[in-house]
Amino acid sequence: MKQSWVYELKNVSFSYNQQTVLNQIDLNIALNERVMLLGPNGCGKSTLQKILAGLLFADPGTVTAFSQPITRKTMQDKHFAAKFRQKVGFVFQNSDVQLFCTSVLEEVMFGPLSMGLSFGEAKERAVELLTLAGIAHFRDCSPHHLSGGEKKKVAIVACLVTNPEVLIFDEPTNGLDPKSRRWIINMINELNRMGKTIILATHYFEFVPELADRVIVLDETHRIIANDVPEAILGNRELLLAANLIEEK
Amino acid sequence: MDYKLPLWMNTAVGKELPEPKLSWNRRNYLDKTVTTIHTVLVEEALAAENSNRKGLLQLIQPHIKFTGILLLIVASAVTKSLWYLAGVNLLVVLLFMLSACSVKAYVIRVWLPVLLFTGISVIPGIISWITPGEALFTIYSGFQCSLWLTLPQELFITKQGVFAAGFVLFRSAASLGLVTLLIKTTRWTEITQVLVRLGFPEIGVTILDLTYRYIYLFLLLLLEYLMGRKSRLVGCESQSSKISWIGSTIADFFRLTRQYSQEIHYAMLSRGYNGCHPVKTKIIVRWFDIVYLVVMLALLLCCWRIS
Repeated sequence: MKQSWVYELKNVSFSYNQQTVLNQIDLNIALNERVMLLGPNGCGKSTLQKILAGLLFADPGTVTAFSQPITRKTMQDKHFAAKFRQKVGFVFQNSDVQLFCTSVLEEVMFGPLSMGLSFGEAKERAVELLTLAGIAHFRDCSPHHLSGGEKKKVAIVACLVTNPEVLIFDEPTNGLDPKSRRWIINMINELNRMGKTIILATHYFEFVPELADRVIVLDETHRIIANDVPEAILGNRELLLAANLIEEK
Repeated sequence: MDYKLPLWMNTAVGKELPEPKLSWNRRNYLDKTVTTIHTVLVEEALAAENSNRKGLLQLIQPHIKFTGILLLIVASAVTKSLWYLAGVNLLVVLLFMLSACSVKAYVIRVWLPVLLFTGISVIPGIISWITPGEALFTIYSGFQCSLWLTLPQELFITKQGVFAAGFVLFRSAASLGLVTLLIKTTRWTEITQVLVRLGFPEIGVTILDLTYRYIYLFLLLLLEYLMGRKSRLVGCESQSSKISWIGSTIADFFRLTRQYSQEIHYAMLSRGYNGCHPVKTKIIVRWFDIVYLVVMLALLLCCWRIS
């Protein structure tokens, strides 16, 4: 039986200022899968995630999501783009760039209100998720006055509130204290249990066993050098060395 | 902490993605800004690459190059000969080609703005009504008009008007061309070093240096902001929402600029900044630098002789 893929990437490359950032990437991601992109700094993880989120476009190569092509042209159709963004949520590494409203509650309600939900329903959803994240008491604060971990939680909640089917996290645990990190890891796993597809990028492989069903390793040549289950990746010391993920002792 | 997610999250948004409708030119303001920022970043990368290429002006010592170009700008500003100005413009084109810069870039960076801005402003000056003189081309004659404005019976383009307009255009193009040449063949850090050596106020040069560096950083940040916004547009965006986002982004950038400037100041102080712009390069004059300077001086003398 043919597997139903959420994403199908064929021969995807991307250059930025004449520098190759992604080099001939072939990748399929299935529904309800937890995929972790692992690689050193500057290997193209974030760019690949932005391509999956329809923010950047493959050049050359083809990206298909939910059986539809994701190109600059197709994403210019506002209706299509809005529906796609409802299905795909993206949590940026730097939460500051994602938060633009004057209060936390407004921030979280932005998505549901844009989707056309009633004010009451949007508020109910927002408060429910803020309570779950333990930041409901910040609802009237400006997001910019919060700490890094709290901002990250607001960004995640603002993304979750539209109930996307795919969640893309760019370095979600970067710069967070252990408590916030644990909260995010547990939240991601709970989301996956609820049927969400998770795509994570990190260069810390300590979280691989907890967070991934499949690991994709990119190296400094901006290519995929491994695509396997976590045990196989973590057990391959040579591969981790080649990908500059561990240091030689 | 309870990790039980609400039940409404169990249900998928449902329905497949609709078929995208393809049409021409439907880019929104976010896409347009993203494209513009990308263009600026690419241009910046190309400029840096260009100043490292092997070309005639890239070989010249920055201080001497700057002085030579300054001499030629002065000559272009004071000359009374149109032929001299035309010659300087030709020399600029030649230097563009010899310095591995494209002539297309010269046309876009120099002649396009000159014709668009200076050109439009000098058009009225070529007609007999503004600049009387010898007729070159008659626009109309024997026309009577006595409305709120009394038009002359005859209107023509004058030789004197065209001559004056040519002066303004060639002078602007020569100055702009020379400055563009300097920017395209010299790294920004070298330009600021030259400015310090030539006695420009150090604080001004430091501000210029920091502005250049942080504009790049802020452009990258703005790019992320735009993507952050795009990633959350899950429905139709109202005009008021667009305006409010633009307003809040401007405010955010003001806040960030203040925050950054404070941190940069502390970082500079902690690394021993005492108000002086450090001059890092030693001037080593080679034979071709002297040849270049002699040629520029000869051109300045030529201007004086012709005038």
